[in-house]
Amino acid sequence: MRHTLAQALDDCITRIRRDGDSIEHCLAAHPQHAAQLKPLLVLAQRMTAETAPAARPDARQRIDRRLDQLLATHRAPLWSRIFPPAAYRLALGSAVAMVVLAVIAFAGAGIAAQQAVPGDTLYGVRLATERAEMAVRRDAPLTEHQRLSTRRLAELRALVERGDTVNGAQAAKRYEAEHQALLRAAAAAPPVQAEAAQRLAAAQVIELAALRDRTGATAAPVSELLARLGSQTPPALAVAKSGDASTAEAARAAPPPASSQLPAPAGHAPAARYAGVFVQLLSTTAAAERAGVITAAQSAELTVLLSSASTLNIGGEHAVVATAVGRLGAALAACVAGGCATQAALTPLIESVHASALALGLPPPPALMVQSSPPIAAPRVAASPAARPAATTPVAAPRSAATSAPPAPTRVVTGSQPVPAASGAAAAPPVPAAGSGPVNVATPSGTEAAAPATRAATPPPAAMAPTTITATPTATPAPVPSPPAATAGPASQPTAAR
Amino acid sequence: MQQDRLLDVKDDEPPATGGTVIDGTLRRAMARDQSAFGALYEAHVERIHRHVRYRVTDPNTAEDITAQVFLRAWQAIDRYRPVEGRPFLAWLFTIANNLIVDHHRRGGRVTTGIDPARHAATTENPEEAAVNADLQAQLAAAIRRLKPEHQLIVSLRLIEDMEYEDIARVMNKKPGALRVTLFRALAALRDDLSKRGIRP
Repeated sequence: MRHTLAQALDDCITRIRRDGDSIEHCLAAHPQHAAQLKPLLVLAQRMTAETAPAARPDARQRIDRRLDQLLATHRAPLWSRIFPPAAYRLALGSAVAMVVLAVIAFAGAGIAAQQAVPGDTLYGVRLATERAEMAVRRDAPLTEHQRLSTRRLAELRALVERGDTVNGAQAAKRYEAEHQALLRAAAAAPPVQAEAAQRLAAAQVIELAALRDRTGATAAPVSELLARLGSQTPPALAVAKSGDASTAEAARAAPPPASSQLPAPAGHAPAARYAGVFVQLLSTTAAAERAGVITAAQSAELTVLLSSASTLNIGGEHAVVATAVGRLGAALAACVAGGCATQAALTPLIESVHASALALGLPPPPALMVQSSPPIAAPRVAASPAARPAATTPVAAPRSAATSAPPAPTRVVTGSQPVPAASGAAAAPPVPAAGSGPVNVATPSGTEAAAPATRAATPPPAAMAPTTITATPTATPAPVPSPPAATAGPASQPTAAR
Repeated sequence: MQQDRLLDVKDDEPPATGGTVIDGTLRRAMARDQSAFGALYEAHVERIHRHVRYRVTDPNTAEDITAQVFLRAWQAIDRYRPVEGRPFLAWLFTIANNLIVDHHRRGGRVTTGIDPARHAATTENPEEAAVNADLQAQLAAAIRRLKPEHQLIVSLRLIEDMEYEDIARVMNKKPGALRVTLFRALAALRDDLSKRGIRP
């Protein structure tokens, strides 16, 4: 019913407005609804555009002004003003595609950047990635500087080894900055973390010295870096920070370092002092190699340095000492082969090489043989007996024991390699290596630095050549520790036979 | 029958959307062409203002709402999706209706009538003009007392003379239901005036 009424009403409204029909005429067409429709049609007839409430005369101007104000204060969104709808969709699609491509490209570049070094195009990416990593990881500053100094050192090593001195100098400066930042962070860190950081810094300096000695002509950035680091560190490091000829001469001329200059193996000695021992060891070794002779002073110095380095037990420096042991073995061999006039002074060093190898769990120099020779009247370490580590066996051994011993050749054979005949020495049953001298390199605390049984043996340095050395019969009758199995001989072999 | 004039003017350009005939002015306005939108404003502002005047008593508010309608339209013109057969004006009425509803929801309902004097000038007989003006004012006031749905159907169908198909898109109702709504709106208007002793 209501629907019918509504249709009749709409029919009449349409007829009246479009066709000009009258209300009565239309109601005649719907007589059953006429009573209800008439008042509604009258109302509808009064409601037209012409009968609408009139606007104010200035309404249009007011609306215009108001709209201007609104448009001025309600700007369309920037993206909407810049991009029309179609262009916006196209731009949005393009932007998404570009972002995807950029992510892929950036990931690839990031992987490549990890291998970048100063001078490479992607090195900036690597630095940016590092900063992003730092922001994300939020590690302690000390941890970050440990990580970054290691990276900077690796970059420097890569450049120096490829002979790029220009970018190597840049890398050296970057490493120097990171090295100093590491030491500053260590100074502000708790003792345990500080010691670890200082040892890392020391190990890095040691590696730098080894790098300098290994690379030779292209090591100028490293030499300069070590000089700068040395000027900032205690004298122990500064003494042997350079490997050039003049410094080598100075090293030869310099008296062996006093024991007081050496770092204490325990406690929290500064990193530079730790590093100084190893750098000095390598530098003195290099100087001896270049000179082709080992002076008595050098021998004494190297002996002290090697003993100290062996007992410092700094994690990660075993390789450095092993390198030193190998190179010293080769230098000793060269010295002896070249008619080294000061071979009498070499015995403590030879003993120290053996002891260091043992202390570090390294196999002793494989072919280093100490063969007895007619006694030499000279004192074992004539130049500086005081340079012997205090905890080692007495230097002033009674000569009577040696001189009273029969001149039968005594050789110390380490390893199982055959001993080359030298000086007419006859083969003899091996004797414990300890018989050749004091191998018990004592730590300052007085405990023997015997190698832990669990240490893995490191292959002998390649530089080690079979060497026959005529040892002075001045070995002291010091207590002989149990030798390693590899060098163990018949227990009945008296050490006094020397 | 009033038509959406802009839809009657076709450009030679192809339609912007598949199957939908859009005049060039509207297409340019959708591309945020200010001059094109200005043309749309000129074409529709009077009808929108009239529609608002019927539903909002205060002239300042009516003018402000009218301006707001076109501001909203300009802000959203690039999101306007033309529908075949639906005039742009229907979209403007939708915006206007929303604004008017919001205005009343915020307590902006004003029951004061329209100034009868403004209607007097359009009639020849001053006495008759005064009576008509008073009646129109009472009628307008009665319309504003209707519920919003009835206000809208009265305004769009009777005052703006829009087709049910167009009104259906504004009010989201089927034409048959709109006819019933119009009937109820007029009946409610009659009852309101009768209660007040007013005979149209």
